[in-house]
Amino acid sequence: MERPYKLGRTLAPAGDAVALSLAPAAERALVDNDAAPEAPFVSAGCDLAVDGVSKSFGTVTALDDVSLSVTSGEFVTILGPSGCGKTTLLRIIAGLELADRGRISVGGLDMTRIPANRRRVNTVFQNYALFPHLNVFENIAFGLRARKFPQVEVDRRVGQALEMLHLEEMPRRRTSQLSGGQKQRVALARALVNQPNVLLLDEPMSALDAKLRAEVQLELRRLQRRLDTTFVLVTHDQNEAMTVSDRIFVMRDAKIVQSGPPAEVYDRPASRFVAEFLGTTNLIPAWRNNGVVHTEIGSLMPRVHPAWEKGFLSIRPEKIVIRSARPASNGIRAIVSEVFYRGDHLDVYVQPGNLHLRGLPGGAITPGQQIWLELPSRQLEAIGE
Amino acid sequence: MNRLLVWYGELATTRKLTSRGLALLAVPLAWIVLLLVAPLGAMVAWSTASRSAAGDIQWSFTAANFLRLAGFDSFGWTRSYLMILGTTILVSAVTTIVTIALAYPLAFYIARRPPAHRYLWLALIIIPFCTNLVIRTYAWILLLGNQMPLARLAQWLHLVGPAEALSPSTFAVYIGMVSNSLPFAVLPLYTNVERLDWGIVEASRDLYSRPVRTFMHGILPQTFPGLVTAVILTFIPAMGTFVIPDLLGGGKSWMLGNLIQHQFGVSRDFPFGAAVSLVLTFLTMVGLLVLRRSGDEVSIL
Repeated sequence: MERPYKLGRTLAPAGDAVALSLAPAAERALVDNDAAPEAPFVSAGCDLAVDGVSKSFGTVTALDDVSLSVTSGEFVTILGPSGCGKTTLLRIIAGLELADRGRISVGGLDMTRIPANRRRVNTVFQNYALFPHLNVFENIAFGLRARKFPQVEVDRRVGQALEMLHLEEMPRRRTSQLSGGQKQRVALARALVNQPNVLLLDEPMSALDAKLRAEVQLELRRLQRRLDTTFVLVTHDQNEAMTVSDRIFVMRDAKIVQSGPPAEVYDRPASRFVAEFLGTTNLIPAWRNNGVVHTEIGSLMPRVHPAWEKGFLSIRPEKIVIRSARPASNGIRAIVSEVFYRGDHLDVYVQPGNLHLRGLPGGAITPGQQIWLELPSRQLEAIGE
Repeated sequence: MNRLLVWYGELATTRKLTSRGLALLAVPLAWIVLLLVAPLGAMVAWSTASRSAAGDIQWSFTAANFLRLAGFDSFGWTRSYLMILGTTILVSAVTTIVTIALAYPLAFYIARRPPAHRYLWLALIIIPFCTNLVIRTYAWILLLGNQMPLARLAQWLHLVGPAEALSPSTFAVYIGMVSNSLPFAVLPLYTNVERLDWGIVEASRDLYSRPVRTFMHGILPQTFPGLVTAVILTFIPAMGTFVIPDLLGGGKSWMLGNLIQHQFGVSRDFPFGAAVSLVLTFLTMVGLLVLRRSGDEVSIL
């Protein structure tokens, strides 16, 4: 195999035409891959491995021994509050920042020291960073022109990208004439037209309004399934993370604190931070005594018996069940303190413990009422601090 | 209350607004007429007059002054004035190119320092300009003297003869002109570079561009307004200089500025001086128009 930084050159456009002509017409949009026969890539999407990466800026540690691996064609999200180091991680994968320690590899090739312009990794930037002096077409064609693709091929690929992202009407438009949503689609097209091994998205939806954001999330997910490319999305929006990803990596203070499929991370938070960061939860202070978990609202049986002496029990509001009679286990007698109507559900707060739960509208839940609650053992997680 | 509204409504009618607008415009209009239109009119008037034998202005409506600048006089055609014009454009152009070539990297260097250091650097560039131009130019004569390190180096390299000074010479003129215009090029470029969107530079790198292409697409278009401003602020004053070529050029290589100064001074030929000034103004305006057209938005600091 050639030395890895030669990659850019071995991917000669000449090899493309062959591969393209073989691509089935229906899936030609951008799945055709431009690897020359001797190139080490078989499909556009590649595995990504981050191995023990650390990075600090002066005295601030942005990344502390972060490792993660993403398989080809997977959509993963790096989720965390601002300042947790997630954007730095993305920039190191893109090559825009170099790691102090650790290794980055794409498709099994070491990329740690390869400059950004030699990596087949493309980024959709947070503020899109479109070239203001170029029109939409030339913005999208930028990467292809840098790699000296022939004009015919540029026209064809950019045409497909425009079509795929519903930008057919505006190839000659200046970027200053575009709306936020259009800019975002141009930025996406500009990255995808290069058929990157890994597509990185740095909070691409933060500038869109809520309704558009929801649409774009679904569109992004569909696009990713269709192209079968590896996507890495960075966001601080837990809804976005759960909507689009196959797997979520939750980051906090320069470290990854939990990872797994959205349902697993949501249902089985490993720490108080994750439980509170993803959605809302009831945190009940608890302590262990003679093998029984006690709380101020009675002794409860969590899903897994905790190892700690003192900690928390966590249960999502929608997992608390209202019962007409005393349940067999984990039952609590409570008084309804407040009820808020939310259209499709009720937000109910009860005492003791100020628990938050969901009820069905139309039911006869009124403040002051006494009810039985069950905190099902399967849904009750014991977590540490 | 209603009467107040009616009164206000009347105030806001077109006629009232026009008359009030004119009243407000009167002061700036007077200012422009007094300081811009009147002197320019006087120059135009002078340029069509001629000089009497005693050096007085004779109001004879003639194009002789312009023809004389183009080289036609009572003895036939001579190219000396056109040579001065050519030298002026050449020296100004070279000065502009050299100044920009120095100021561009300098602006990047300063903009990438920590904020506290930036102002120190800018101060270092601006402070010499608290000194008079003539004094600064004399300082260069001293610095380029035959015993000073720069001249010693040139002597050692056999660029000049033994014990020769670097001034007066064309080289000295360029040194003087470049050092004089440097801050006017650095400041607009610096304000431009400081606001540079490095995200676009990164996008270019991310999209497979080598450093040269990244510069052409990521940096150059963004700094274009600053560049245009820097060129204007360098080229136009350079076109009108006369002190620097006079002192550092030894009075041998004349520029239009020297010619004009001479007409209003030693020669006492106001009409010809006015004609040369008008041509210089015209050339400057053409230059400005070209530059303004190429730069969408031109901002000076």
